[in-house]
Amino acid sequence: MERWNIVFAGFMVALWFPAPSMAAPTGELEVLKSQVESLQQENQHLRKQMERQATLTEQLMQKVEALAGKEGPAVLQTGESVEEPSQPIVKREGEPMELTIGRLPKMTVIGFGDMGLGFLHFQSLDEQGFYVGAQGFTFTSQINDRLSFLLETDFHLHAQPFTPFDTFEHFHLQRANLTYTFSDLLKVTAGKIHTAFGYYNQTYHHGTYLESSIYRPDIIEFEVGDILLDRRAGGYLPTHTVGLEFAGTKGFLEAGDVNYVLGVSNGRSPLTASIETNRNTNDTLAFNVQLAFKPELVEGLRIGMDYYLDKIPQRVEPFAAPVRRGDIREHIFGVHAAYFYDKTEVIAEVYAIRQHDKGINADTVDSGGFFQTAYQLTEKWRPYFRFDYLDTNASRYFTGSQLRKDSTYSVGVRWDALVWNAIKFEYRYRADQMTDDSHTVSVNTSYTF
Amino acid sequence: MGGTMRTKRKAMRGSVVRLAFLWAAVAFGGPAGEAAAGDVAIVVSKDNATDELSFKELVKVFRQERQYWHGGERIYLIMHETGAQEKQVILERIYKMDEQDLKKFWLGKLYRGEIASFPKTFSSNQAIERFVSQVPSAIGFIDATFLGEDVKVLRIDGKLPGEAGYALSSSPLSR
Repeated sequence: MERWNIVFAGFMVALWFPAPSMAAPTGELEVLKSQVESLQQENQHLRKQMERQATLTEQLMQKVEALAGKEGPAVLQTGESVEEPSQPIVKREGEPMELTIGRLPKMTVIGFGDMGLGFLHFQSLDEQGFYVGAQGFTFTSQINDRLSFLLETDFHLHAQPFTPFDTFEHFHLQRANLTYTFSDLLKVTAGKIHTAFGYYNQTYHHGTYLESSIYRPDIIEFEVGDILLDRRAGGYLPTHTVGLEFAGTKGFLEAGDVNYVLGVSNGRSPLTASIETNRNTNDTLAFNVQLAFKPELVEGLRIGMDYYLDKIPQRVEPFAAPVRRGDIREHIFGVHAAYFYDKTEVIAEVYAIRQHDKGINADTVDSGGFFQTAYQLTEKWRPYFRFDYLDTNASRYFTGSQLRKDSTYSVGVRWDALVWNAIKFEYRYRADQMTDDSHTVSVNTSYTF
Repeated sequence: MGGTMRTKRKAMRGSVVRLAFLWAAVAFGGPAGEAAAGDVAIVVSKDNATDELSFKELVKVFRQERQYWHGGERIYLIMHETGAQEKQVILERIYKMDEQDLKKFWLGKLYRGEIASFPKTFSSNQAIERFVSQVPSAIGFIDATFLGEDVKVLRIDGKLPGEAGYALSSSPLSR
């Protein structure tokens, strides 16, 4: 028994403090873990050596430049990095980071553009042709800790009605605004902005690189429609506005974040294609509000609602026909949901445009919406589908090709062929209740630079 | 007979005690192991009033959905250059995207006017530590093994680098 106790005690010691041979990992997982740890330690040792060498090189370069009489910090730039300041940093309140690290406030410029080829079959007509979409530039600058500036411009080709010319080039000032941020809860933006409707209008705009599909949903097509093959017109919603916007975000009882937007602006012009950038035709301002919620329980989900109130001036000479006498009191209601998680994208928005036409003392309701989904199938390929519907033939504010009642089914695939360049292939079928159905096949390349 | 019974009872007690010790050794193991190397530390200036963040708040700061400290100062987010090992941990745990998707992410935010410039990047842990130590409203991340005394390490969900369950450990087992 004594012998067994000694043996047992020896076993306990070996179990608690295993000898190197007994501590050798068993099983494939343990072997791999051990190898990973060894590599990590070796990697850290090498990185420490590299950093010591980088510091020594920097010091030597400073001495060299000092001897050569040059001013300014020595740099060891790699890729996108910022020069490391050579002088101690003294951060003054309100000073932008760029001045803090010894440089002037700077501007960031990004460009967007797209072009493509389309085939349209409509009635007995077959059209095909290349097109150049909007080519735009966005300029941003953090002026100081609180104030930032954004300017978006583009060169755009669109149809000019009542002329013998199909298209004309137009230079647009799409956005120009100053934003003062008090806190995450409140920032105030003044100038020309994207109106807070839904998710799509605030996330994707001119330049189609960021979005999955080639075309914008019909209900939120721009005020100045596109000249693509099917001569689509827009302006159902005031996608741009000029005025003041108050916005912010706040956590709500650990349940999620609430985003809000309150806007006051010039409102709509008598013509849907015109934006009241420098004037307010009538004596009334427009108001809009958006509330959106991002629940903690469902990562990637955002749901929200929008409301817009305006008085649209009457349309008399010298505006283009048709004449419309009497102002229109307009209410726009919208709900939206967007879900982006992992490889899945879903966006759905619905709008009701309710108008009281004082000219004919009548109420009209137009509506439209869309449902879009996409899935990142592989690293480069993202198929998508969208359903659009429009019922916009009641209001006297909309005219010509804006008067529609149709459903459009779009199916396509986005191919991120190269970095910062996507190629999209899309087929659209429009089931039109006011005229004949149409089919469109498009190829589009979109890029940012 | 009685002696035999006593001997048997004694042997049984000894077996029970041995089994108990054996169970304890297996359950609680030997000396505790060291924390995995390469944990990523979130660092701020010692003058920054913030001592800790929840992981959810950290994600909001790094995604720039939250851009101001509670005291009202603008948060200056400092990043590593592309390819840094520390950045891989941040990409995986916080952004849940790869480097190219992160660039698209920043591009989208700038285009929407949510940010006016891209986050600044530095090429080394030491450069980030030096910068953060001098700018009270800056926040950055470095390999915890490079930590010096000039910066403050934020607790994330109450934990520091090296502690079990730390959210930004490079070890997959600690997730």
